[in-house]
Amino acid sequence: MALTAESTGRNPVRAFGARLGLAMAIVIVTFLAMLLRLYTLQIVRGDELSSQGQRNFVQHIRIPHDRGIIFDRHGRILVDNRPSLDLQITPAFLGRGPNAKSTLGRLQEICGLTQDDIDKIAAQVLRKSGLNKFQPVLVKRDLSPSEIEAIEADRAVFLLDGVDIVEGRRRAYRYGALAAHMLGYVNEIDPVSLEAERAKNNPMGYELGDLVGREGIERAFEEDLRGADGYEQVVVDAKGRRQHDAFVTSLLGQQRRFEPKPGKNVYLSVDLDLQLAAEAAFKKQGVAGSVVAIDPNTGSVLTMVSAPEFDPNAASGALGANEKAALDKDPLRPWLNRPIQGQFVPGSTFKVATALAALMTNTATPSEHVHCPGQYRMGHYTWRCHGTHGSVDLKRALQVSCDTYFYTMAGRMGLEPIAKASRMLGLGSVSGIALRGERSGLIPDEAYHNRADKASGGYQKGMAINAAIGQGSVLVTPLQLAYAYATIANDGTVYAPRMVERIESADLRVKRRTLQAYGAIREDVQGDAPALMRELTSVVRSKMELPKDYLSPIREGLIAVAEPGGTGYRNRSQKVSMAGKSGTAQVVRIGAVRLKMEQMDYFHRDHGWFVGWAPAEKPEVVVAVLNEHSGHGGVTAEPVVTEVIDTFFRLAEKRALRDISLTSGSPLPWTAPPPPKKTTTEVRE
Amino acid sequence: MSPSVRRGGLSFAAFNWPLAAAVILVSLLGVYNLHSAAAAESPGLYLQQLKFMGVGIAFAALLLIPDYRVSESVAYAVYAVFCLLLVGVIMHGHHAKGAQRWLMLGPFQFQPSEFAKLAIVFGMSRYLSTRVVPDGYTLLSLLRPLNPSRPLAVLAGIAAFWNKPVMADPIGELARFVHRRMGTARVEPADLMWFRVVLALGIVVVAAAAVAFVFRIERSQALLNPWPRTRRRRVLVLVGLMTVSLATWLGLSWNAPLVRDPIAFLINALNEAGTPGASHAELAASWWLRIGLVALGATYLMGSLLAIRRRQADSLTDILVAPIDIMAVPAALVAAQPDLDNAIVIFCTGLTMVLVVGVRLRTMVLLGLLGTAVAGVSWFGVLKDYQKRRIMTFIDPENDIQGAGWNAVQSMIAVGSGRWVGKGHMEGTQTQLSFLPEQHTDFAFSVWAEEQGFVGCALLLAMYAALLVIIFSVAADAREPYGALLAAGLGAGLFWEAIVNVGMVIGVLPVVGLTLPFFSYGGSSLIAKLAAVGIVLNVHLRRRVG
Repeated sequence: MALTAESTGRNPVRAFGARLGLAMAIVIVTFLAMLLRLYTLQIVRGDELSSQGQRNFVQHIRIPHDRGIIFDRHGRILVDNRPSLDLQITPAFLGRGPNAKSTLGRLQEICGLTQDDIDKIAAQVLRKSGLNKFQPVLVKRDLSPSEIEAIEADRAVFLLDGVDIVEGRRRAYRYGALAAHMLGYVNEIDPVSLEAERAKNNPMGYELGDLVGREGIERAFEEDLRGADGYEQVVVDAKGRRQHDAFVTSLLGQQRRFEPKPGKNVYLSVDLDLQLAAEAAFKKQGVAGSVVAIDPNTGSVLTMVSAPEFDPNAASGALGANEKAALDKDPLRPWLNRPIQGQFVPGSTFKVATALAALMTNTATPSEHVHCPGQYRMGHYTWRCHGTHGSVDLKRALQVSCDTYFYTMAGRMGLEPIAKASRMLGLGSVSGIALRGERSGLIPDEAYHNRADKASGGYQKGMAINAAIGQGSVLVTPLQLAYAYATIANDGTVYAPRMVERIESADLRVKRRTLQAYGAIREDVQGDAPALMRELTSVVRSKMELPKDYLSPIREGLIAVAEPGGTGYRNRSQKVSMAGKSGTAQVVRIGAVRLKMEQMDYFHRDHGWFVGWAPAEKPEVVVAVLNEHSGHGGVTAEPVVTEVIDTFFRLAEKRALRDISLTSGSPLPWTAPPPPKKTTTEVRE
Repeated sequence: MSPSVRRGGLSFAAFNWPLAAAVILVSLLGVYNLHSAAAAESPGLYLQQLKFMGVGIAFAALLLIPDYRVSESVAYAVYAVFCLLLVGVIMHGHHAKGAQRWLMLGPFQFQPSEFAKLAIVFGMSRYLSTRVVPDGYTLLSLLRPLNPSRPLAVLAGIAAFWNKPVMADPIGELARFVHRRMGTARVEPADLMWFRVVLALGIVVVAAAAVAFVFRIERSQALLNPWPRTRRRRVLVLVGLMTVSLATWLGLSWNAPLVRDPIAFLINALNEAGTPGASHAELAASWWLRIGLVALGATYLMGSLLAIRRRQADSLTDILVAPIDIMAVPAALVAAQPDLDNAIVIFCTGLTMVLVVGVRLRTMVLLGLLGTAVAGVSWFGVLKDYQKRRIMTFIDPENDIQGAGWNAVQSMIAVGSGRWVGKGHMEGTQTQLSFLPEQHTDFAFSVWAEEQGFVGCALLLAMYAALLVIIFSVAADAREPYGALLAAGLGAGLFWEAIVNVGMVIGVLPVVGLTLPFFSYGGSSLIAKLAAVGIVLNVHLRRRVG
């Protein structure tokens, strides 16, 4: 089949000739057709089109979406949105002449911008070229009424071309700094994150100037909370004024308005009332620290306080440089989310882990007695106890927090069993909470000491004795400690923290009332009711393989703490029976001389801890309080625990009363909305 | 008739002066236009273009010196080098407008796809010039589905995807792919009456064809064993039953979603399949899919190997390569950048060259009818706007449809406001206010139209027409098929790019990312195109005389 010119004896190019002639004809016909089309456009429709060209352009106007609302467990709004009026400039309409300069100058004056800010905006405006000139540049968010007045008044005198006041959205944190660390805040996406989002091929399409969740729930559930902006195509003239021109609008096609899509709503497991009470109770006792309240039977977080806090409303705007510097440099570190990001020496609260290790290795039976002469000796070293307790068993040792008992246990079994028992309680590893930046704490074992203290000869038995009372290298986060105690309270289940109960689509229902004949009012409800998108059930991290009630000796000891003679008796709850353990963690190495608290520098004072639950026998709530540098835990931390527990049960009683009245049918000012039905369509994973 | 050949023909008279003059004039008009088009954005750009023009002309002059037939021996090598460069672009390319198109070569960056458009002409010319089929190509000889290279490629593909999720859960993967490209939203089905009518007619035509086939077998002497009457009857009954049942099905499901709008139905079905917990999960970890595919590939390979012996092909190239492959490889590589528009130009160029060599009339009619029917009916007649947009985003996700609509409107306004003689150089308001996007590259012609008016446009288009007619006449006068195909192919490439670009500017074709040859700004493009003209001039110098 391969034929060449030589083999056939005739030149095939001759055969090509006819077809090439056809090609030439096609070329000529095509170009004539194009000329005809040009004639139509330029001559026949020339006047019409050129008049359009002089006047009208198409601009896309963004319609901001509503970010998802964050509710507490009883459906009360913690975070939502409020409208704001923002100032923006469209570079194409602003132009580049002297007018532009004077316009920017006026805006600087009115809005009180610094020279730096205005230079930045001017650079942004100048950088835009081509089609980008139609993308507005944001000058200032959330104008005050007086600023708006001034700008509108200026329009008459100066020609503020390309300056627009547009509707935007601002995040509203209803309770100010309440639960700031947990809720997080939003602000404008920075170029680096923008690139990262684009690389991830995020279908939601971020643009510069979009808000993005920075910390807390806002960040962790960004994908759910964020909706999509809508936009409208409008015809504007060369100065950016809106036109209603039939011709150009017809070119735009049918659909010119694309509605924004609101984000999804997040329901937290947190109780607003409890959170309020916890913050108030903590503020009475200290300045820095954390309160964590959880449900030991599901792992739900009921309250999480980190003090000192910041105001997310301020952080969500452009935080002034001075304010930001003040927050950044504050020695109390207000940005730190203490319950999950703070790692602290647990002190005596850690003794439950030592007790568990002793039980599991059969180092001591619960009834075995150990003599406490006020100190413990091993080799040439002496460890002091904070008192002289005489003969103590496990229960008594926990009740009075006898160090000698736990020194003795550690002396007998070494460090490994303690490390193993603490890991079983969930210490030393991240709990898997949805928030960013959780720390794992530190549970030292022999391998750790051999590695970290290589210079001083690796693991020594004395390290086990330090660890037994939660000193030495042991570090925990308040959240971990709460879950460890929950594990003891619920007889061996280690839960993962659960902060979000469910995610629902936005409530798009609009109620319309119309006046009918004879004064009757008809009510129509339009739009979609919220649908359940996703339910986050509680997750079990691990389950201890222990016989039933294996942990009850430890529980009895912790119950005894709140009984006469216990370290937590004085500040116990008067409302319900409770159990718990105080802790006083030394921040600096135990020295030869013990200073009084008042004599110490603030940052050298002891941390006060208290972790407790209630009711003692059938736990419903676990509360862990850390009061930094406050001294003795039973004095400075336990009142907070007691207050939170009291509030928890007071609220439960109130709800129970309401439910009773509900079932008896008495009229109430409001009714709880029924939980939404799970829909099968549109469930996204 | 042995043609006498001009030897060493670098004489003044042998040179194709009109062609050279037309090209230089168009390029200079391009520079002049650029002076205005880029005035707002980067005023010095026209000087840059002038430099590129100098380099291009020098390059073209160099290409005039050796006899173009020298290139026949290196044509495949040139082709291969540029295919490799395209691979390089995909792996290490420089990003521009969301696609990788640039390759850095020392201090220079260039677009290999521009030169790939030349390379494919070399490859095709070499291939087709030694395979001029007297009766013309048929669909089968163009595609050669039984080439062993095809099953080998299939097997290589299976090996490449062996451990990919698509092998474990093909429907789910496909669904997720569609999701990523088009989102999860439900597509509102249209009501495609024509589709149902065509389906109904199709059933009738197929049934008629089957009946005709059976009767033809009866009369035919070709079969050694003519079918016995009983078998014929049985087949006829079967055909009848199938026709009736198909017709019944169609009648019953006349209003079913699948028949009303199969595309929307498919997309929606895939959307459902992509939702977690749907039935496709059962396919997960299906080892039999892999086994089945390998068996299929192996069968295909065996079949193709058996087919070789019977075809008794004499060259390895013929066994491995079909004409379609030479176009498809660079087109696919360019499309992967992703640059769909240039890929289409490459494909059209190759097809044009096949047409010049000759395609059997029947094949041509068949292809033409099929292509026109599908493209025309679906694009202009039936699909709704949003459906087109969806299909376009599916094919080319980088394509900004919103922007495209805007561009088309702005371009038409700019062209229309030019009227008879235009607004004058540097006077176009649309241009100077930068309302036109890409106005120094893709939309250079609309700047020209606004500022020079209908007269200027007519002049420019006439020059292009003249240029192309001259190039095709050079092809017709070439000494042998290789030179003819070279010139024709280069001309075809220029033709397709020019009409797609101008068509876009005047609003008759969709907005794509193609430039106007010689006229738009772009170093790689201008140099490659001037080099192409150099080669055409070379073919003309060594033309057939008499």
